[in-house]
Amino acid sequence: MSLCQNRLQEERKQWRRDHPFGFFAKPMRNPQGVLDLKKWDCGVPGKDKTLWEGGLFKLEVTFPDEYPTKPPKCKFVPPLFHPNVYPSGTVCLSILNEEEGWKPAITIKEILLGIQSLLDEPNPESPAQADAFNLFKKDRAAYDKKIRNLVKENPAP
Amino acid sequence: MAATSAHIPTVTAVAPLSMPDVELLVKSMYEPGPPKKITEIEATLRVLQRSEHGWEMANALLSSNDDNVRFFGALTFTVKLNADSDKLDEDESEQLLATLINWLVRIVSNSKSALVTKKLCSTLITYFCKPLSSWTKCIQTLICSFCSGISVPEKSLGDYPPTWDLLPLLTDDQLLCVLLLSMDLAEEVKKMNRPVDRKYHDRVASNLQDLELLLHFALAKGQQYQAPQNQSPGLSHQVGEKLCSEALKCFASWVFYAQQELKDSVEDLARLRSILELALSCLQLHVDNAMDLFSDILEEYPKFFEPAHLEVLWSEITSPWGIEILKSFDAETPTFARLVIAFAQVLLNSGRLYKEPEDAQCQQVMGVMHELLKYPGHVGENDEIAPIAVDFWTNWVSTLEDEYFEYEEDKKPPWTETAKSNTLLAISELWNKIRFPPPEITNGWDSEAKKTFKVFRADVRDLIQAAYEQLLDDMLDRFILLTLGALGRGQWLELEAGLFCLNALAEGSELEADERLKSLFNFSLFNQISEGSSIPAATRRTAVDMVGFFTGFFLRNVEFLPPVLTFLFSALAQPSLANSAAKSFASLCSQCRKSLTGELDSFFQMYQQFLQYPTADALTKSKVLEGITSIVEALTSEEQKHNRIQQLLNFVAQDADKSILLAKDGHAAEEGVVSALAALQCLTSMGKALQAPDEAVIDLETEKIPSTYWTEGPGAAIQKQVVTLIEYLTKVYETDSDIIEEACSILRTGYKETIPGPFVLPPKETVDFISRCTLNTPRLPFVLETACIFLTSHKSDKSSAFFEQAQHLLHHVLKLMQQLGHPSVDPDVSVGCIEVVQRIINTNAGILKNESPGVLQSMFNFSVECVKCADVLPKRAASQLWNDIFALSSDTRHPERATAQDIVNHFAPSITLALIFNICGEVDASSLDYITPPLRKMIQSERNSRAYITAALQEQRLFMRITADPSTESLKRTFVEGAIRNARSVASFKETVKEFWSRCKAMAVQQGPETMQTIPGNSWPGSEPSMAATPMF
Repeated sequence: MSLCQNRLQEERKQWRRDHPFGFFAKPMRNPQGVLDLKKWDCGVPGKDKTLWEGGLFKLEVTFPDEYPTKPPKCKFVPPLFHPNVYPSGTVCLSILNEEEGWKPAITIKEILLGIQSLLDEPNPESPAQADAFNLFKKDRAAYDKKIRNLVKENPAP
Repeated sequence: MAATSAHIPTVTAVAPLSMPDVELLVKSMYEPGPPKKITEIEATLRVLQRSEHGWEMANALLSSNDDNVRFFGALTFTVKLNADSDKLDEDESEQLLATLINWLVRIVSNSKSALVTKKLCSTLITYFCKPLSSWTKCIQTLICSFCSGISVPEKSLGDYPPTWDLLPLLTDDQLLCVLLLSMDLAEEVKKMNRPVDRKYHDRVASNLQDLELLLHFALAKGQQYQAPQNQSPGLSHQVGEKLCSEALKCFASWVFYAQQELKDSVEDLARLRSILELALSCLQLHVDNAMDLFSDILEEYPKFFEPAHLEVLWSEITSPWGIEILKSFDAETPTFARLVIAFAQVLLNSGRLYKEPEDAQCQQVMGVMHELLKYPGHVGENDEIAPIAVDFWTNWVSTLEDEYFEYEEDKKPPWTETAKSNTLLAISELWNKIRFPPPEITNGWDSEAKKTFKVFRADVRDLIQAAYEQLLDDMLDRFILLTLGALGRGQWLELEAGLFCLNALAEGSELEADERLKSLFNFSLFNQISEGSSIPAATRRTAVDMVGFFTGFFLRNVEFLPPVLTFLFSALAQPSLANSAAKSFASLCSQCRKSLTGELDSFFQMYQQFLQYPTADALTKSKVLEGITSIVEALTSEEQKHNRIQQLLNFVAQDADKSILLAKDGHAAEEGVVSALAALQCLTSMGKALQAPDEAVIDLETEKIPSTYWTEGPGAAIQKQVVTLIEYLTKVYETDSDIIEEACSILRTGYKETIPGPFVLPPKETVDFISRCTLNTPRLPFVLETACIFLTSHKSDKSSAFFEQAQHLLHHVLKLMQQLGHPSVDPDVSVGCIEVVQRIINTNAGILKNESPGVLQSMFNFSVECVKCADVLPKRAASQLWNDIFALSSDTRHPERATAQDIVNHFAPSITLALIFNICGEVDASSLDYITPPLRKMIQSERNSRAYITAALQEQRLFMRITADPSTESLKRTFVEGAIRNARSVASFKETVKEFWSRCKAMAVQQGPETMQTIPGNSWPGSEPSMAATPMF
C-alpha cells in the first residue's frame, strides 16, 4: 500500500478510536460502492456558545496522491457563507496551505477542529468570498442573522 | 556561594531585607489579601529568590517552623538550581546535595509535612537532572542517610550494610519518602524531552537493583499491615494501604520509564517484572488506584506482561472476588470493567481472542465482554460500563476487518463464523442500550447526561457502520426483524432504536438490500407513525431522518413515496421536526418529480392545510413550495404548468399582501418584512425548482425555435406577476437588506436556464431592477454581483436588444462609480463596479465605445486608483480587470482587440506606475499574486513596456530617498531586465517580481517610516483631473 493509503487507513482507525463530539468523518463510497479512502465525507458542528452552535456543516475532504506531503482539500458542500470560504466551498485556512502552515503531522481531527474554530473566528486578512466578507466587516447584525439562518437550515442531529 | 555547606549556617539577612522580614513576606503571601498586593509580594520574592543571596535565603527559610515558609525555601532551591546551578563547582555541587538531603532527613522526622517533603524530593530530582550533578545511587543514598540521620556522601555508601538489611530500619514515613523520590526520578527523567545524554539513563538504571528491593519490601510490608491476621486494625491498616498504593504508583512510573528508555534491556525489565506478581496481589486488597494503574499498563504497554503474568491477572479477575465485583454492579464495577476490557484487548491484539474460539479462556473473556453490555441502567445515568465496552467492540470490528483483508472471499478460515456471530450478538445487545429510556427518566437529565447518551449512540452508530461491511444482509435482516417486532407491539422507543440502526446502514446499503427493505416499508411503517397519537417525538424524528437517509431507496421504489410524503406533511406540524421534514419533502419531490405528478391535487390540499400551522414560516414554506414546484416542472404541457404556477403564486401573494398591509399600518413594519421576505423566498424556491434538472438532455442541434409562451404568450402574465411582486416589495422595503438580496436571488434563478420558462425573465427586468439601485441601496455589492452573473450568463447573446440593456447597465454602473469618486469611499461597491466593467470587457467590450470619452477616462482612472489604494479587495479586482484588458489587447484574433488597444494606449503608463508602486514593497504578500499577472501581460502586449517600467521606478519615493546609490540602480536594472526576459514564463516572472518586492520591503524597513507615500493620483472630473480628457475611440 502506498504511503498515502497507509496513512489514511491509520487516520481512519485513529478517528474511530477517538474523535471530538458532534463531528463525523468517513471515507465515501465511489459509484461502484467501493470505499474510496482518498475522499472523505465530514461534518463540523458549530462550537458551543457561539453563533454557530447547533449547526452541522458538511465538508468533502479530498486527499491528493502526495498526501501527507501535500495537504488535503477541504470543501464545504454546499458552499458555505463564510468570509474564508471560496465561492466554490473550498476552505481557506493556513494549515491547509502547502506553502503556509501545512505539516504532514497534522491529523484529520486537527484539521476539522481548525475549521470549527475558523467558523466563529474568521480571518479578515484573507477574504475568500466577497459576500460574507463584506457583510462581516460592514454590517455585523446582518451577518449574524445570516449565520443564525444557516444554523437553522443545517441543524445538528 | 556560601550557604550550601553540609552544616546549615544561620543567616540573618538577605540584603536589603532582614531574614525575619523575608519570612513575614512569605507568610503574608499565603494569607488572604488584595490580589494586587499579593502580586507585588510575589514579584519582590521572585527578585530575592534570583538574587545572589538566593541560596542563603532558601536555607534560612527551610529552618522556619511554618510549613508554608519551608515550602517556599524548598521552592527557592529549585528556582536557584534552574537559574544558577551552572555557576557551581564540583565541591559546591556536592555540598548542595548534602544540604538538600539533610533537610529532607530532618523534615521527614520532625515536621512530617507532606507538602514540604514532596517539594524537597522534587528539588533533589531537579538537582539530579542538572548537568553539574553526578549523583547516581539516589535510592541507596537516601536510605543510608535516613538510617544515619545525616546526609551520607555517595562515595561512603560502600561502608554501609546492603540495602535489604537497611530497609527494615526505616520508619514508615521514611519508606514513603524513598518511594516518592524514586517515583519522581522515573517521572522527571522521562519528561526530559531534549535529546538526553545516555549517561542520564545509565545513572537512573543504576538504581534498579535498589528499586527492586525497595518495592518488594514496601509491598510486602504494606500487605502485611493489611493481612487479616494482623490484629492491629485502624491506623496500621491505613498505613499499609498507603504503602501499597505509593509503591504501586512508583512501580507504574518505572514501568513507563522502562517502556521509553529501557525496553531493550532484558535484565532491567526482568527486575521490574519480578515485582509484578506481588504488585498484582494488591488488587484484591482494594489498594487505591490499583485497578486503574494495571489498566494503564495493559493499555499503554501490554508487552510488559508476559504470558505467565497474564495468567495471574486472569485468575485474579475470575476469582470469587472479581466475579463478585462484576455481579454486584456497584461503584467499583466500572473501574474493574476497564481492567477486564484492557485484558481482553491484549488477547484481541494477539489475535488469540478470535482465532481460538474453542479456547476456554477466550470463551470466558468473550462471555464477559457480552455480559458487560447487559447491566441494568441507562447510559448517561448509571451505566458507565457500556460506553467503555463499545470501545472494545469497535476495536474488535476493526481488528477483524484488517484480518479479513488478508483472506480471499471464499478462503476465509472457520473461525470467521464464530467471530461474526459474536459481532452480531454484541450489536443486538447494544441495540438495547441505545434505546431512549422512558420520558420520566430522560426528563430529569441534565445536559451532561444527554450528551453522554448522545455520544454513546453516535459511537454505536459508527460501530454498526463498520460492522455492516462484514455482516451485510445478516445485520440488515436482524435490524428489520427487531424493528418490525417493535412496530407490531407498538413499542415506539424500541422502534426508534431500530430505525436509528437502520439509518446507520442506509449509506452502505446497496441495491440488493431493496428487497429486504421493502418488507419493512410494506408494513405501513410511515402510515402508523403518521396516525399514531402517543408516539414519542424521538421516534418521529428518527423516522423523519430515515426518509432523508433512504432517499435512494424511495427513488428506486416510487410506489412507497406517497405515504412517506404524507407522513412528512404530518411531521411539518411539529416544531422540532418541521425543518427537516420540509427539507426531506423538497429533496424527495425534486428527485422523484416525474412519478409524483398524480399527487399534485392532494399536495395542494395539504399545503393549504399546512399554511394554518404555526410552523409555517419562511423556511418551511419555501421548502415545501420548492418540492411542489419541482413536480410542476415535470408536467409536460406549458398550459398545465401555467395553471399550477398560478395557483402557487396565489399562495405567495397572500404573504405579499399581508406585508403590504402591515407596512401601511406603520406599527408592524418588522412583521411586514418577515412576510415580504417569506414571499420573496418562496419565489426564489419556485424559480430554483423550475430550473431544468441537471440530468435533462440539452439538445444543442435543435432547429426548433424556442417557445415564446412565457415571454409573449399567455405565460407572460406569470412573468408579469413575478416582476410586480419583486418591484413592489423592493419599493416598499427598499432599505431592508435581506429584501434586496432575496430579490436578486429570484432574478438569478433564471440566468442559467437555456430554454425559456416562467422565471427566465427578459434582460430588461434585471437591468431595470439594478438601475433603480443607488449608493443608498443596502447590499449593493450583492446587486452588482448579480449584474456580473447576469452579464456572464448572457455572454453569447449578441442581439441588439441585449446590447441595449447591457449599455444601460454599464451606464448606471459608471454613474455609481462617478458618485463614489474614490474607491476608498466604499471599497466593496468599488469592487462590484470594477467587476461589472471587467465582465463587459470580457463579453461585450464594444459597448464601451458608446460612452463619452470623459466618463471612460474617469472610469479607468478610478480603476487605477483602486490598484493604488490600500484596500485589498478593490486592488485585487482592478488588477484582474487590467490583466484582462492587456490580455485582450494582445489577442490578435479577437474582434474587440482594437477597443482594448485604445485603452492600453491611454492608460499603460499610469497603470504601470500603479502596479510598480505596489511591487516596490507596498503590497502585502497575498495580494502580490494579483499584481503580478497584469504587469506580465503588459510586458507581453506593450512595445514600450521597458520605458514605462523604468519611468515608473524612477518615480517611486523609495528610490528617491536614496539618490545615486549604485547598488539601488543595479537592483532596479536587474529587475527591469529580469522582468522583460522572464515575461514568457509565469513561474520565473513571479519569482523575479517576488524577489524584487522582498528587496524593496527590506529597504523600506531599513529606511524607516516616512510620511505616507503618495504618487501622482487621478480622480474623477470635478475634483482635479490630472490627465486631459481626450477622446479615446
